[in-house]
Amino acid sequence: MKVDQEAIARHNRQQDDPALRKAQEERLMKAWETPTGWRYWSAVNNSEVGLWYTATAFAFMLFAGVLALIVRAQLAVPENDLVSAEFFNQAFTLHGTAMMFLFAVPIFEAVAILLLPQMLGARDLPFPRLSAFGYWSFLIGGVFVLGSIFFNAAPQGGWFMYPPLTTDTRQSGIGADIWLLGLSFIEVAAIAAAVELIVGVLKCRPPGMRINLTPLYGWYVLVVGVMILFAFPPLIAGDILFEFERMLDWPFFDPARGGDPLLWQHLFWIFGHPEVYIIFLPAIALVAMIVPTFAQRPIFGYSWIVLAAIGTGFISFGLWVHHMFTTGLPQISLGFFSAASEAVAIPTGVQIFAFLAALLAGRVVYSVPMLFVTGALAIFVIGGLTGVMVAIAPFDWQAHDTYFVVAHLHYVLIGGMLFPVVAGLYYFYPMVAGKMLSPRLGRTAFWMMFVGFNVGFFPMHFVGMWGMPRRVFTYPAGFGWELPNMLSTIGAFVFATGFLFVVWDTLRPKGRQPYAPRNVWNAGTLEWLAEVPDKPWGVRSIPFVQSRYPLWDQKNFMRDYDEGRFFLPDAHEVRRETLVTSIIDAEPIQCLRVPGPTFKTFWAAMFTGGVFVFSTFHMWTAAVVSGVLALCAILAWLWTGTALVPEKEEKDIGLGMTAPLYMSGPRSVGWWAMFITMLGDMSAFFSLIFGYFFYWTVHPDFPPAGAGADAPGWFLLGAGLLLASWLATTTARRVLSAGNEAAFPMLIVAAILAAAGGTAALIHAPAAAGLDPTADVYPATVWVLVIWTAVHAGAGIVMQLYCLARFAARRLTATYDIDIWNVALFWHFVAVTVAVTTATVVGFPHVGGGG
Amino acid sequence: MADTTTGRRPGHRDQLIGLTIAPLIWAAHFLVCYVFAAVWCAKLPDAGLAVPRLVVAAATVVALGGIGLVALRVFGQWGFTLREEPRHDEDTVAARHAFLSRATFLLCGLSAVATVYDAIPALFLSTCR
Repeated sequence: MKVDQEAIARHNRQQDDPALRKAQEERLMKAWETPTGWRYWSAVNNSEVGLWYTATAFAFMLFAGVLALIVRAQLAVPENDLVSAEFFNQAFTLHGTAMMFLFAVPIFEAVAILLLPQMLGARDLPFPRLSAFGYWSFLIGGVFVLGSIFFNAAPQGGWFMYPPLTTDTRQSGIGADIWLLGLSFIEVAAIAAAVELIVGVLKCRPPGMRINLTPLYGWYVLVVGVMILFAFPPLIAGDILFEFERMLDWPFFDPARGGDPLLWQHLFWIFGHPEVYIIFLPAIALVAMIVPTFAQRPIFGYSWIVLAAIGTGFISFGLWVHHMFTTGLPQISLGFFSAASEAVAIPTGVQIFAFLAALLAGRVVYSVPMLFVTGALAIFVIGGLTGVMVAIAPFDWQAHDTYFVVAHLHYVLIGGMLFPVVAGLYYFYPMVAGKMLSPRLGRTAFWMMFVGFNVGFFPMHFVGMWGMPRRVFTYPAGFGWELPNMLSTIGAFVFATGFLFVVWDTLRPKGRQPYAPRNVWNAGTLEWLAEVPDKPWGVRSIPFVQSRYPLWDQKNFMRDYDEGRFFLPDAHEVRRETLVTSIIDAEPIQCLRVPGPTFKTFWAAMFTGGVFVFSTFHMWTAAVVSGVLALCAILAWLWTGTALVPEKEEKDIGLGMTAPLYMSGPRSVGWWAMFITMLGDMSAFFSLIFGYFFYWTVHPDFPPAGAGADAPGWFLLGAGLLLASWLATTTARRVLSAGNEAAFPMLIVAAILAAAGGTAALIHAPAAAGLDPTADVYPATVWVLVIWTAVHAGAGIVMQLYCLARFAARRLTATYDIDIWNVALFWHFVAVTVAVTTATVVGFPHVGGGG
Repeated sequence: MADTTTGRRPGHRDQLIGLTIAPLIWAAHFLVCYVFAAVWCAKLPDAGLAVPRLVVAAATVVALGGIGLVALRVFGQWGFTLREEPRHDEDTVAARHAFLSRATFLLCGLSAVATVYDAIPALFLSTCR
């Protein structure tokens, strides 16, 4: 980055004035002030939302932990009748579900929202209100799913909800609906967080932090964010098929009518296996931040760790069938997945060796975070090795569905996630709360957890090999299972007691305890610039970074930062602002105004949640009302808080540089957010398309003879009109950018009319063809593709109307055209959806049809 | 994700997407092998695996060739020695370029190994059972 030395000198002379600095700090404080009283809950700043998110995830985790203790208490002795079989089923289902969906994944989002901006020297993430929306969605969905157990209505089909057990409404009750709808809602929150975090890492790094200087945590967040985009949508697609079967009797998983339960297993595990790495990578990312600090030297093999993160991210998508080794797939298929499952051990091992190398090369200080890191590595290595064992198909045939797998997955998740997260808790607590946690309590907690965990879970390997299946609510005496089960129960309670020490240490009042020193561990990365106690502004000035460990390497770094000698040391207009920089070299390109506190996102989440909750209980009117209110809340949020027209073109960002305040198209963060969201949307859509071709492979008469020839006219008319709407929208964008404000509204109106007509024709098409979705899986599949496409076209119409209204209100003009850029981008994806749906539904039967 | 702000110096065309080319080749190879064999076995369960094995072999040659090309390209640009860890933790375009090239090269290695792994089942199996 070119910096003008004279301008820096000028900037420094200006910042020499203490009165000016004080005035700047007052303005910054005012702009970033945290709301007080009940308005506190309208905060959207990453430090508040991240804290709530983390606390809520831990609360859900404790709840799920209590369920695990009930499970262990029941299994302590043979023939136990402490709880009923039904309650036991609910307890283990909810334990797994909550640990995975309400703790393991959300804690990543929570910690990343809390820490990432600090690590990047940013004042906030680019879309603070989106984070808040995600948090409220998570809270509502989590309380809904967990609360069900108090009404004896919790899901009881296991955390992966295999049909046909769970599609049978008489056997599964309302619990399966609660699981499907509650978790779909939470998946939306996860995708929202992923969008926020990806854009954060790519576009909000401080000036000078080129891609090769990015903290490893940033790399991991980027990889995991992208993984969420491709892993969660297949599950959403599966949830849609599942709910359609449960509510409307569409036979996607019913073999009697051509469905196949294996499709659910595919969709679930295309999500479920990458999810393990979505959980593991961000936790190991915490280790990658902790290890250099306690070794007091840079991480060993930075580029090797980046290789490992990216490599694991990719290969983890080639493993899903190893959960399905016993379903009778051809051995050649098992072979491919077995091979990829072995290959993923390579990048995983690279990370472990890189950490060990850094620890060996440095002089390690064994404080509490390091203890948990060491324990994590030990436990995870055992879990990884048993993983290599079960990745071999013949071994898996023996171990499948036994306690061996229970032992394996707990070694992986507790070593790969829980221990690193607790290490992170002890490490980052002084930065977030300003006070130290107690080393004495921490050590006690560590040893109880480490010993308790191993006593609890190691015997499960043996009892599994001796034949004890998972998920049995009791077992007879005489198989030699008594001792290992009793040990497991004792270990589980010791482990839980150890964790209670952590909880107490975190929550105990610390009023009289002195504040921790600033940068208490003498770390080298930007988050440790945080003052004690912390200020709400995120950073005093946005640093100019020239090293991976600026606090170690750059002279007078903290002083310059404190005295506002870096970028944006002031908030002249008392607005919340942060810098947007370029992806590769982090050169400043925009001064981004970020929105402040609001309750709109809270209401948007409440009403969106209402749609899911009311649908669970088939209260359709309430669901529709709630949906309309949600739409209103979201539109109000967008109208008042996004694409704001600034009062001037550009502003001084310090060090003699200026940056524009408004940017649209591929240079704006909003465009990237839309693009990333739509990548996720596409992966859900292609999961549905995968379903179509899956049925084609398993059935000789799918699609049936003559399919596609009925009513192709309506299909083609619908597709043609929707594509015309796409063309009109993109042309409207171009003519507006070219300054033709007269043609714009006409083109948008034409686009709306074409889209409305096209959607109607498309919806009419399968009806005209006489396709009855409850009769067979073929019509059901066609209908679901058509509905998916129509819903997207409908959303596209709302966006077109929104642009028209913004244009009328002069909030969308030839100069300020963010809205139409993003809507045109959305319509590109609608066009792909329309084209692929039509080609599949109308075109494919001609080439691949049966009969 | 082009970076347009850098001048025409070595590495001026670096893109983050370049890191993903080799793993994407691995993914394409994996999908071709799996989908072809799965569809083959679903549609012609008794036909034996001769054709899928040929497809796997051909896909593996193509994939390894592609990964090799990517590796050669970054190797040539980078001019590194394997023994010495080059300086890529500095705030310069050259260091950033060296880092991206090195990471790309390492990913080529991992992708090549994973591709070979995925081809191994086709060496041993001859029926759809």
